[in-house]
Amino acid sequence: MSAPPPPAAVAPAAPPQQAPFPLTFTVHATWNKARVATLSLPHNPRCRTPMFMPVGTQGAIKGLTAQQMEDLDVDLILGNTYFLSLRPGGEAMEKLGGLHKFASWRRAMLTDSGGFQMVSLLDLSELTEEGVSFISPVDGTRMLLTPEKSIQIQNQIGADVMMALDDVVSSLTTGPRVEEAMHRTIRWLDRCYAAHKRPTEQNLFAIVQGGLDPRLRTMCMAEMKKRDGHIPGYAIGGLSGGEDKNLFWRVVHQCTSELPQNKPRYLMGVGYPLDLLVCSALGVDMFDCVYPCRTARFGTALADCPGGVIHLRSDKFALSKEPIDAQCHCMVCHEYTMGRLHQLACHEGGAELITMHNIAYQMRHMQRIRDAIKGGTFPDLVRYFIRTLHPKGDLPTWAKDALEAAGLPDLGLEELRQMAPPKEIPTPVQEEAKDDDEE
Amino acid sequence: MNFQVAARAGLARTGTLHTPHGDLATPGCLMATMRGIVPHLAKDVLSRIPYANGLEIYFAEMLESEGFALLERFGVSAHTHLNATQNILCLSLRNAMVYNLDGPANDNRITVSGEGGKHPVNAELFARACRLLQPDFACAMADEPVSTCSRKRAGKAVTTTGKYLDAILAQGDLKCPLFGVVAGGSSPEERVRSAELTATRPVAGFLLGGFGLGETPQERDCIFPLVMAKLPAEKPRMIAGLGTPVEVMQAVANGVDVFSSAYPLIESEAGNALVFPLSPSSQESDPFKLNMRSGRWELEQVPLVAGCGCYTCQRHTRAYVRHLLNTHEMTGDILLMIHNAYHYLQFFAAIRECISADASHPPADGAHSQFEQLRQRIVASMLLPL
Repeated sequence: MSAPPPPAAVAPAAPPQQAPFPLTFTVHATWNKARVATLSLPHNPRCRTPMFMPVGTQGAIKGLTAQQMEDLDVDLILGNTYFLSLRPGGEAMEKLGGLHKFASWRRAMLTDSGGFQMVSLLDLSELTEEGVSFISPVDGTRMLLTPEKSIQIQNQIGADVMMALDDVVSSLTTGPRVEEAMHRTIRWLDRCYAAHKRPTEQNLFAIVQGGLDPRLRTMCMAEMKKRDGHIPGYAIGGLSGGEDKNLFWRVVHQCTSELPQNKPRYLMGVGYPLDLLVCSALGVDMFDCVYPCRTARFGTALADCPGGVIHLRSDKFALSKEPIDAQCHCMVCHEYTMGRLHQLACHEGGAELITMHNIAYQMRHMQRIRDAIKGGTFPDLVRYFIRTLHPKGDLPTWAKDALEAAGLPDLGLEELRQMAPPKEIPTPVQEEAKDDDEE
Repeated sequence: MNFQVAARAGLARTGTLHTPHGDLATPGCLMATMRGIVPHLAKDVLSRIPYANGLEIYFAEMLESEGFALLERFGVSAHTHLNATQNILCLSLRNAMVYNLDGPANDNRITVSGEGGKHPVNAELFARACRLLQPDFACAMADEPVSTCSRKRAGKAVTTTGKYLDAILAQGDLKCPLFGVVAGGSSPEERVRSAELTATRPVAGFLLGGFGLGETPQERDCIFPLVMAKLPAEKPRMIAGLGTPVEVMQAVANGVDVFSSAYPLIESEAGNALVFPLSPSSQESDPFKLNMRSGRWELEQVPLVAGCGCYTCQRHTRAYVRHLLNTHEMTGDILLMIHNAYHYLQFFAAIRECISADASHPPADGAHSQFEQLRQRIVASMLLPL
């Protein structure tokens, strides 16, 4: 970066009047930091948090219909601004009446800012204070994504929740670039709010940056809190990029402690079932991740079993007459045996089905998290989860530490370790190194 | 299995094929499958498409991907294994999507190709598959050379196909009804000989084999009436290898009851939406199909077919389907296949209505039947620019 350092962001002189956001966030119950709430959005007044939000990159969840997503009781889906800006394009989207109408999706929707592609399409992008310049992977043309442009497109898409364009750096990056990105994120945030044309219809969330450095995170949140009157909700960004989980959870813990209590918190790019449980305990309300859909396309089903995943391509399921999960109410567990899914997963035709089950699993997982918070039985759920997915007491240290910080010092791990049979438990095979925001 | 004809108009007939797993309204179509599933259509989606209850499953795929040994260890029928208890299953050797009968054949065995290579099939293996899978009916082994073969080759195919049938019948109880195959390529004489021969055997129905392999419509016009005259009217007749609406109507007009077709899938994979007219009295100038990948639909917020009852048309637009195809989203293939399967099966429903109407109100002298009006409407739609 050879550009002269831009002026420091100037916070509004007086705390602005609380804007009438097109959102209400009503907390019904808490357990320590964890909370159950209703997030009321223009296209869905009853989003139940903590919630998992499946990713519909280009206006559809891969391999599923809108009807199936409704059958799965999904409250909110994501769209990717960058990809939608390429096809069909912002202008076309506006003419088509926005993404809700275009995709005939009747529930809530959230769009990212397009900024994540700074990381995922790094080779195709170039960053200046003005914005990020991308070379389109579709036709090779160059597009300058500025905060103003991102908001313009997101206004054209018309999702219930929009995200401010942030300067995203990989969570593996260290040094001055992280601090620079945090400051730029604040400057861009002000430009985003200035550019927002539909504040009574769409909520614009701010994204906390600052890498893995608690000092930078605090600085970022302090700046944002000065602007709290403009901000209907907060996202925790810059995580889930392959960083040390011991640092990951501490950043989440720090952010949920320092962010305003009365506004929703969205942890971007997190979606492993254990992470959802732990981060819900830390007080996160919204999650998104391509993991359940992507892993399905590799033949992996999510289930309450040792390791938490079932690799359906494994020959050991060829003869199975059992569903993935007898407790699961999804169409796939109702209609298909694992033996049948094994055959389909090894060829084609299995991806859509396993995707459907995995989303159903995530929805059920979030439902039991909400029920446990409401019913005061959250510790029981955590112990059940550990007993079922980590029967040898082999819970990762970071999760143990995070749960302890969340108020669960006694997880019964030692007991499990002593009880555990010496039998080998299949360990999940990681077919993807990291999660990308787009699929 | 029980077949009942409800109405006749000329050689065409409409009726019902009753099976333990449901009824197929005829003329009707069995959907082509890959490894037992209709591509792109999960069970919840398929179950919402009217008349999509008949499936054709393929011998080579069952042999390969299920593995007969595996199924024998399972000890379950195809209905159970595929969880297709509400589906009529027909076991066929010839794959509707790709011609797979070009391997070596002799008096005792044919060769079917699958993804895993070529598999010799003799009467014993065929009977074993029938007993194991217990489909609602199975089509017998046949020698089906391409239509351009010599009369001598066609004659040999008829003789060999007859030998296969007798060898299968000698295997004892197959635990499923068997359709005998009428072979004979493009030779009218050999087709008649095959029909006569097959008609004398104790089969539940007939498969008109070897069509869609290069013969002309004129050759079919010549062969169909000759063959049908030799087949007992009370038994169902199936045809494989034909699927376009005009081909279907030509066969129906000659008395064919059951089709097996990958036509909706083939059009879907080509990115086309079937929009041809489904009513003999339709006055709209609908084209035959739409190229859904075309940029002309970018802002078209209308269904694929106005008034269509399918999920895709009820909920989505040409613009959205085009966008999903354009961005290679799997959901685009699903939405297009839902519409095409629905439209195609409604086409068969329209044919049945025309036959019933023509049977109860025969057209006046010189007037066109409802059936013929529908055919002409469809042919006219094919002449319109896409």
